[in-house]
Amino acid sequence: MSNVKQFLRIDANLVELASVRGFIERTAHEFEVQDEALSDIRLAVDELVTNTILHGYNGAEGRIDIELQFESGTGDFIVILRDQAPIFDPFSNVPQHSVGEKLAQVKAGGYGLQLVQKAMTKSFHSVTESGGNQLTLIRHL
Amino acid sequence: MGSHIEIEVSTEVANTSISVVTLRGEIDANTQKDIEKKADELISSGTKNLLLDLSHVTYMGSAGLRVLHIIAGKLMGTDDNTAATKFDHLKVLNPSDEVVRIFKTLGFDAYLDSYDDIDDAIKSFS
Repeated sequence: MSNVKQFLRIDANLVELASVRGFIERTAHEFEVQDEALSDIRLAVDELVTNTILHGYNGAEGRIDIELQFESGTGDFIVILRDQAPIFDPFSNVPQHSVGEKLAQVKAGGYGLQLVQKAMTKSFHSVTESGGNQLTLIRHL
Repeated sequence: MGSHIEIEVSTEVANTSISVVTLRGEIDANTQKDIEKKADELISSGTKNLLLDLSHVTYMGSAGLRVLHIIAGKLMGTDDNTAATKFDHLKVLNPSDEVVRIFKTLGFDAYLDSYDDIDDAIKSFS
């Protein structure tokens, strides 16, 4: 049972991040998503769009399509991100920090993907028919 | 229009001198470099302790964690960095509930002290 979908297409540029977050907020309010879930979804999308811009396109021109969907039957909020950057699964090797490590042993990076995995109920990568990346994020509400 | 961050700096003196950096706006990958640049300027001009006032930060993602970690490392220098388990020279003031949740999600709160009262925060630096 699929409900309303919302779409946004952006250029692969960090200046677009604020627009992406605004889009998430407007859509989440429309779907009456509660604050904590909204924070999680906004954070996860921001992290993955950032990752695609910085590491996927790596300075090259490109576009990212963002699709938001609420499945009323399952109570799942679904985000699908598509891009045409070189194929890469960001979830294939997510670094894990452990509390109590000496700071010199903790790298100042890799936080974003950990946050995505902890914020979302499920997140995975696939390859589209046109040979692009597709990231699917599911947050159970 | 892209994300935006405004940065104000003041100096407080208690047990030692502390640069209080007040941030207004959003901390993301687009604004991270502005914060890091300001911190670099302060550290280059002699700042040893830094209190980041997050009262007016409306959004923070992992770019915020990354910049906090980088600044803390620069404040510690290389001498005690190898053994340190806490950001002794960097603390934060008034993070939102959302930011606190991000800190706790990754265990960042174990490294970083957070205060609700600026006087308590200032006195905590030794």
